[in-house]
Amino acid sequence: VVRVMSTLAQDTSAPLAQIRREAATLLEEMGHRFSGIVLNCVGALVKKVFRRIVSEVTVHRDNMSALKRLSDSKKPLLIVPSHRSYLDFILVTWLLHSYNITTPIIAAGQDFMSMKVVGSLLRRCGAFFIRRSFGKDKLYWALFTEYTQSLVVRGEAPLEFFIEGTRSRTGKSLQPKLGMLTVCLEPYFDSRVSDISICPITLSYEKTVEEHLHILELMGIPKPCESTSGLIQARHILNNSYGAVDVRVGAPISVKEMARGKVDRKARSLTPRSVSVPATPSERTFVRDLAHSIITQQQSNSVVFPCAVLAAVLLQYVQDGQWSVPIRQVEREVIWSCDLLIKLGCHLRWDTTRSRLDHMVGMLSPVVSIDSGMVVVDQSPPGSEFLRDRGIEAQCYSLISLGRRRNEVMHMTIHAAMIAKVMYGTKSRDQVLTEYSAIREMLGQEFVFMSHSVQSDFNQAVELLCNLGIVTEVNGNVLKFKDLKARKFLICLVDPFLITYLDSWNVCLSSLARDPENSETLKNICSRIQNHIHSRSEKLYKFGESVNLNVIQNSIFSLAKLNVLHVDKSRKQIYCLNPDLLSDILNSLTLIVRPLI
Amino acid sequence: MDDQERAFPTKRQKSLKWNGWGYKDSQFLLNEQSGVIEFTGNRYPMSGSALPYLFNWFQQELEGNIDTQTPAQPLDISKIPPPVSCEKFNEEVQQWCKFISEDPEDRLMHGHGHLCEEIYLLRNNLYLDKRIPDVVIYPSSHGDVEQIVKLANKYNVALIPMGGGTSVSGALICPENETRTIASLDMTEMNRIHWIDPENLVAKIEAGIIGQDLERRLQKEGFTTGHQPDSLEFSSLGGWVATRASGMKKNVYGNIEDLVIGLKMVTSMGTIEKSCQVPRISSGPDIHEIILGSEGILGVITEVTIKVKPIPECTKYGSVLFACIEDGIDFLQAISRQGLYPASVRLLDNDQLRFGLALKSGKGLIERFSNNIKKIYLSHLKGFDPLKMVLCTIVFEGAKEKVHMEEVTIMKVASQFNGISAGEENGKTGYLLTFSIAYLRDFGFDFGYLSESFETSVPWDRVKDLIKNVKENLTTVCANLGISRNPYCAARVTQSYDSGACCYFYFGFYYGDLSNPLEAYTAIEESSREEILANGGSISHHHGVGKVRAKFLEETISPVGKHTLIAIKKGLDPQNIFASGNIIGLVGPTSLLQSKL
Repeated sequence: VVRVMSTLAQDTSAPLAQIRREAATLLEEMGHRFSGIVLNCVGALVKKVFRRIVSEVTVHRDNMSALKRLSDSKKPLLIVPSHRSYLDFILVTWLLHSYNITTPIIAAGQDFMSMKVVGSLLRRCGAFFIRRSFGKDKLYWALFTEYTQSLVVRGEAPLEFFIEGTRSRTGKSLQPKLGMLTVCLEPYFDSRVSDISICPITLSYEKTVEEHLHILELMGIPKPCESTSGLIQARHILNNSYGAVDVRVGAPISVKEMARGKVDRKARSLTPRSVSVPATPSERTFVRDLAHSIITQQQSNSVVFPCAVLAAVLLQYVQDGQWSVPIRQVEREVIWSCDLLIKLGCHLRWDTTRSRLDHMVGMLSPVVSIDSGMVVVDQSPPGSEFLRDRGIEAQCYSLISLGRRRNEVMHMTIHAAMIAKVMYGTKSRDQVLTEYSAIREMLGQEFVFMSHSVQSDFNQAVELLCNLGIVTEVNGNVLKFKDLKARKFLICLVDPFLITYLDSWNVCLSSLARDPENSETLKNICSRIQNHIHSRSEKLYKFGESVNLNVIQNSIFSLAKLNVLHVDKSRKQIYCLNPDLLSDILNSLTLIVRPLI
Repeated sequence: MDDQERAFPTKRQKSLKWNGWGYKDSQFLLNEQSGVIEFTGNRYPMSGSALPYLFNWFQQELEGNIDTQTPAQPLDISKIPPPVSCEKFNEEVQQWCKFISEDPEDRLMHGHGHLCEEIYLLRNNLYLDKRIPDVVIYPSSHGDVEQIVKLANKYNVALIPMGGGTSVSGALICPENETRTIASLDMTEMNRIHWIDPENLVAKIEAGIIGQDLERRLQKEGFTTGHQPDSLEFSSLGGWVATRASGMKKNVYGNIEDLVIGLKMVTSMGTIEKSCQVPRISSGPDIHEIILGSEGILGVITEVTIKVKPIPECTKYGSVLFACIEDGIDFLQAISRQGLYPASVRLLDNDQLRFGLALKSGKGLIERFSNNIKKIYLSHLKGFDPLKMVLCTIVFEGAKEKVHMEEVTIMKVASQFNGISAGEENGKTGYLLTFSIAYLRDFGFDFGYLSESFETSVPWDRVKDLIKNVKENLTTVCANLGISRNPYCAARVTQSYDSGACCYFYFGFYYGDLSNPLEAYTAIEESSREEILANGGSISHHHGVGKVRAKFLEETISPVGKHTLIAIKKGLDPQNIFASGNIIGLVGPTSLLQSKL
């Protein structure tokens, strides 16, 4: 920090004292002020609130004692929960508190800081605030790094942060953000600590408190700023029930074990401590892989609630244009689907309450209801009236809402679904693998895949499908689908994404690729794509889910990753680098999607 | 000077233990009735006294238990395999050298050093399966050695030179696959002081002389080398050169490489030496640097011309308590920055200090009373935590005035780091106990504990982290190995340099629950060394490479560095007569062939 301050002073010819003052203000802005009393008071309040809105919180004690041991040992410990709701960090703190584990210091987005009273309450519960983006502010970066690393090195309390960076609006894991993790691991890379333990935690919600706002956001209506008055206005959530929450503590990961043979810490010992060294390529690769395996562990510990399965089932009917389905049929389909999902490795929460159809429907309200023996997906659900004024079809609200819930089953099924998608007719194993890799690359921004595990993921999924009798291997090398119902179910999971990508890339081709000089802002191109999708309103049941902004954005980033587009971050402009490649990719995607359209 | 008193006789097993450290008459013994540990014999200040706190310490800190005893097995001499004799070689050697022995006891005594692994095998009669020397030769002059090396080349006999046999690097272990006759060259008959030159303050001495004999005889003439490694009692001058030894008082006298003025080494190609005894020379890369640290793989060191100094006027001890290890290390760094180098400065960490206190013999009420007062003063008035404080012990040596000045300045610096003088007595006992502490490992063995020491050198900015990380890592590794009782690990900073320090670790663990204690020991040792290297530490500060650290050599000195050593080895010893395989592994005629192809 001292070094950065003095170089800054030289660069900007500002007096050092001024920069010192600036630094002090920034630190003040960042720092936590943990207080046990406040935590206890807030804890009591939180408990009350939870009693009211959540029917039950299930905590799996499997790795709890390991976590307690780690925290008691005062060695560096990172707690990395999945992020679906604001309740996440409250729940984690409360949970650790009640298991007598040192409550963590939490890295929170700065949006909360500006909330009156609440901001300072959070500070006293152990939150410290960081700006959402500070790429070029050297002083801020230096202070943030120093502050965070000193928390890690001292190890007095665990450090908690969300590797997804923000709440996932879509129900599936976001691509991990590597900045915070890199900063936290640096003390290990330069041997200030001998090891760092990472404990992933998965919080699965039957229904999140923010559902409505998140759907609106996905449709392009920005979220309101975090404010205390907003929070008070939001007290109506207290009157709703959000069902159950399931919390699973993952097996702690030892960074040292993971890094064995991958990171050579010696390399840093030739540079004195006072000279800061940028992360080496092998360190960066390691951080990325570690982040992916944290997410993978979170996913494998996630719990699927039957209402999510119901959402998946209903979406399949809607895709065929059927908005209401007889109860009996739905029940049958849900049970069949649940069975398949369990076989594919999902942890399903199936108990007497949650297996009741009326409960599932309640959890999907207001989008789904029961009406005279039919389960009905509402085409203009309450609360969506004002959408029409903004030129958005209300049907989309329902589709996106159900899509979010369906996404909760995607983590464990995505590989099987991609295989199902490319495997029509009889194809050789190698051919399936090639097409699987192609589609996987296209969806690389949509789902979290390990870059080096294409082959092993594929083999695992194929083996599983074979063992379940869904796929057979003929003549040793040719794969064939036996269970066509399962195939349809799996394809319906992945189709909405592919359809969106197809539309989105078509728009990119027509608007950007024609003229290489042409550029668009991300925002413009996204709304252009949304409009395009809307214009096909005659088949909205099929394409309605595609107005999902998040998926559209991912499709653009995917093109950037494939070196087709270039996203100029500073000017927020998008250029087309390679029009020919774009039409090639589009063609191959069309070939993959076509059989179903 | 031939009829001098000697540290041990030619047949060393007459006064030395065959399966443990030091003299037969000296050992720690538990008086099972009183529960008090006693130190037997009359050689050391501690000899004959009872140590009332030691067993208590053993029980509390290491969870030691009187019921789990693992006594040493008696030696079954009949099981030692017959030697692989080379009659002609023996015959011709005997023309030059009267002392030559194929006695199994002699052979066993020359087949090992004092690595924990070696002693464990000896105690459990497992060493009998190992390859040991087939014949022991006791040369008595440089000429003898020249003839023996010639004959070894003639008859293709492997040679392993041996001095005091105190190696802790596995350097004396015979390669298992060696099919040739292995001859151990016991150098201890070569113990003459050729001359002392009071004008230039140098002395020419035969390399086989044992440290304590050398010092005793030099002191009779009013001189000292000032070289005091902890193994001084049993290690030899040639051994110091061959391992790059470091002495406790190196600040005043220098390490062995600073002390050496002339060296003679007999290689397969003849004797390597310089023709002048000068303080410095510019003659290309220094040939002394090839001999120093050669660990017996290039030849036999026969004569050493070494600096001597008049016995100092005054030796004074001192000690300072610090609140925590960080303060202590800051103090060490501060005094070395100011160029204040008393003869020795050592910092004992809290674990080491508590062990030191447990070694007090506690003779009378008065001593305990004053100790209590001190305790109250320290913990209540100064706020020192007895579980955190550390002790720095200091030796001042030189002219009275200089010693006085040094003491005053150093105490002033100590007070800047909140150090409190803990008196001369505490400092003195620390140094006096050094020799008897070496006997404790055998006591540990009796109760199921394996213990060992390891050391490293490290830059100042990494000393604190290295100590913390190595200790933490050791605890974790032991837990992962399933060791039920607390392992013991204590650290000392034993040498200070301008740019860094030497750190010394003791560790011990209970092996009662392990099926393969040696595997566990190796895992701990290697994991510790990896941690040290990752923390910017060296492969060794003074113990040497031998066989146990050979696998870390290449990453330490680069592949080209290792290639250089191999090239020297091949050039000097094409038949690989000096076949111990230390440092660079086995470089035999076969690999020579391979490199030609």
